[in-house]
Amino acid sequence: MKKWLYLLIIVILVMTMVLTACGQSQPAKDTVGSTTGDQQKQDEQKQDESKENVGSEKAELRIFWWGSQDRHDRTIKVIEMFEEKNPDVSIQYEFSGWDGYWEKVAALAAANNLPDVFQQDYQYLAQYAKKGLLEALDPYVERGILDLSDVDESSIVGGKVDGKLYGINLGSNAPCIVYDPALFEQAGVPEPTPDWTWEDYMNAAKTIHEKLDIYADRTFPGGYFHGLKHYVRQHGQKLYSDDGTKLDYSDDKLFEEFFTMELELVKQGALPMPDERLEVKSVEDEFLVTKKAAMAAVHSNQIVAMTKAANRPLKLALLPKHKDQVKEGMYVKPSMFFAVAATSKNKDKAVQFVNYFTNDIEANKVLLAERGVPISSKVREALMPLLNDAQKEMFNFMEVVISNSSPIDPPDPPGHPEVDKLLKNLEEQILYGQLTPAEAAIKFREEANKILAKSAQQ
Amino acid sequence: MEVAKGLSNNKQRKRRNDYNNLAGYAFISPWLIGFILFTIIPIGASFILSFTQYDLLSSPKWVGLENYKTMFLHDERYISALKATFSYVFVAVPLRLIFALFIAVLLVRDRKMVSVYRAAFYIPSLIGGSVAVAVMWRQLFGVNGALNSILIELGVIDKGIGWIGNPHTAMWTLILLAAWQFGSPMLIFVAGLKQIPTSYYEAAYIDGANSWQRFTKITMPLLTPIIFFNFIMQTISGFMAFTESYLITQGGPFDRTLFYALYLFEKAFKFYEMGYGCAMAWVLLLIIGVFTALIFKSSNYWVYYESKGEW
Repeated sequence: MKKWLYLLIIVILVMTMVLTACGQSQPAKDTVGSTTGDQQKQDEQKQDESKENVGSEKAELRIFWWGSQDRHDRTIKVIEMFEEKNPDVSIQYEFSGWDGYWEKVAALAAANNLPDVFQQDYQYLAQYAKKGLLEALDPYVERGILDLSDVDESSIVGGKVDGKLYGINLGSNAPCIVYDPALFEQAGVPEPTPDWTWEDYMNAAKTIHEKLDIYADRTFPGGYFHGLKHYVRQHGQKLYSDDGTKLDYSDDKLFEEFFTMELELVKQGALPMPDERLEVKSVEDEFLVTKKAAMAAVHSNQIVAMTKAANRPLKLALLPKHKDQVKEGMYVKPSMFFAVAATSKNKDKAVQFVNYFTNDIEANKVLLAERGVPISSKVREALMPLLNDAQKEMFNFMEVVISNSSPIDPPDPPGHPEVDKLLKNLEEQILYGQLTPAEAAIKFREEANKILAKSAQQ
Repeated sequence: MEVAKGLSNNKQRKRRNDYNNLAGYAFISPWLIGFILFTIIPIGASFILSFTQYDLLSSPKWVGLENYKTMFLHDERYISALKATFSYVFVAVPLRLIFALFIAVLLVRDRKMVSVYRAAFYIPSLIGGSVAVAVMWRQLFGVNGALNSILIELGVIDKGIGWIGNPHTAMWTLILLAAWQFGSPMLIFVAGLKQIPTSYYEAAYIDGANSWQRFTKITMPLLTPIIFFNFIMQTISGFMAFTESYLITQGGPFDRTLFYALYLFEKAFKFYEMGYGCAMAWVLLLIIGVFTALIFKSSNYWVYYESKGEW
């Protein structure tokens, strides 16, 4: 058994070598973050004298977000600007696409190693907040580190879980319809007004299909999920119960009505079957862009990219109202948040960064509403003159949404991704004639409740 | 090393052996550490986690056999995944082997450029699991894809079919892809065919056997060990197929092409149900184990080993 002892010694030896080698590279990496040279050192010294307790140690922040190349470039620029203004902070950043982001964040959370500041999404915020992984930001607002005085309550509330603020909205948007006004005119269909109803939508869709022999839309308004959520909200109910353990709406008729409308349009050829919808992999393929359809279901911030791809003016419309609606189905949706990890060692600095991102005019001129309409009214005003037509349409549209909306429902429960997948499968089964909308409604309730109950146990 | 140990009687020799062993372990230690850290420990952890509910964000909660029960009793998508995987394995694996054997027989003869042909047929397997092939497949079978264009041109259909999104055809596009990637079993078949002594064929030829008889009476029996090997390897990899359905169909339409491995991935990484994912992995191991064992058992009846000297 002696050889096992040797083996153990070797293993330990090699491991310590490997680990120390990793450790040594750490400080080298840190300096990469700070790019400015001598001037910064001087600034730092000045700061040392003027400010209390900063010391020569730099506060280190790690920031992680998802997005496109455009977003990365803009965000990195703002990080550098922040570092210049705050020489006592050095920031390491990391970014990825949406795919893989949540796998990575979950792994970091499991390792107790969450970045100080990271992008959060509405469908994950509650899950992370309830597990105690995020820092509640209300005390920082009280202490004045985070300034929300120029922010409308409707833009803040989406970041609250159980009454506490966990996420700062980085831009507002809303599920909506983007359409081509030229194609509407060609078909002789009046452009949507803020008051258009589901009947108006159905008629417009049928006429466009008949007159122009193109699809009216690629999916039903809002897609299967946001559309159904909108429809349920219009009837004064919610999709998920507040505690997230079951479905909230009580009437399966709503589900049935919603998908019956979609099925009708698909049968008439005004909407494509799911197999054809699959063809769209990027904005450039979008049927609206290639003039194979007159509308598309999007979130309002996507109009910018879509107009660029289509190279012709596009406009935004609200999701249709219900003629007997009890309340507005539309809501202002936080496109994404910044959240601060509960494990962060420099929470004040982290919140300071979030504040800079939210309120600083120069920073927002760089970001240029790429994440959605900024929540600070001062920032919005300052950006107005810099916007192109599509961005202006988005800004103006959000004003329309605010006056035609009701408060957002609580963040989606942890089981949401699985329920979403379930609903997508059911939609396909309805459209392929495997299930009637009524059967699917019952099945959805059964299965979704099972998923939600299970995920709530965690 | 074991043998050396047995021989050593006196202390000195033992010490030298220990020293030799030590050197050996030192040399393989990079691999050994990697193996322990990244294979043995995770396997053990996954077994323990399969009895828990674990969402990565909070610590695992012991639930006993709950995951396994849910899988078979309450999870419809799991059953869909099993169905999809079995129908894929049962159709795609035999198809791939038949193709591989067919091409191997064609390519075994010494012709000009035969190695070029072999390489050409092997290329699809080399790039098989890659994203590029999946993207190409989507293009070929898309609504506006090459296949539809050809069919429309020939007047077979008048409107494009979404082969990948259509519930009746989606699985077949994946099976076709699998059949097309017959390269590695083909190479093994070629090697096996070359092992068969030509004298057998000559003798049969003189006895008046035609080429079909020679194939069924000589080639096939002598090739059975190779077929057996390929069959096992392909069945195992068939059960573990992931990329094709992840990249081409995303399991759709309504889970018709939801491969086992894809569902496992979804559960673990999309829905944060790590415990369930681990349990699924162990059941997959069990399934593969059972099938492999069955194939091994059946080999007594159809695999012929020359060296056993049974004949």
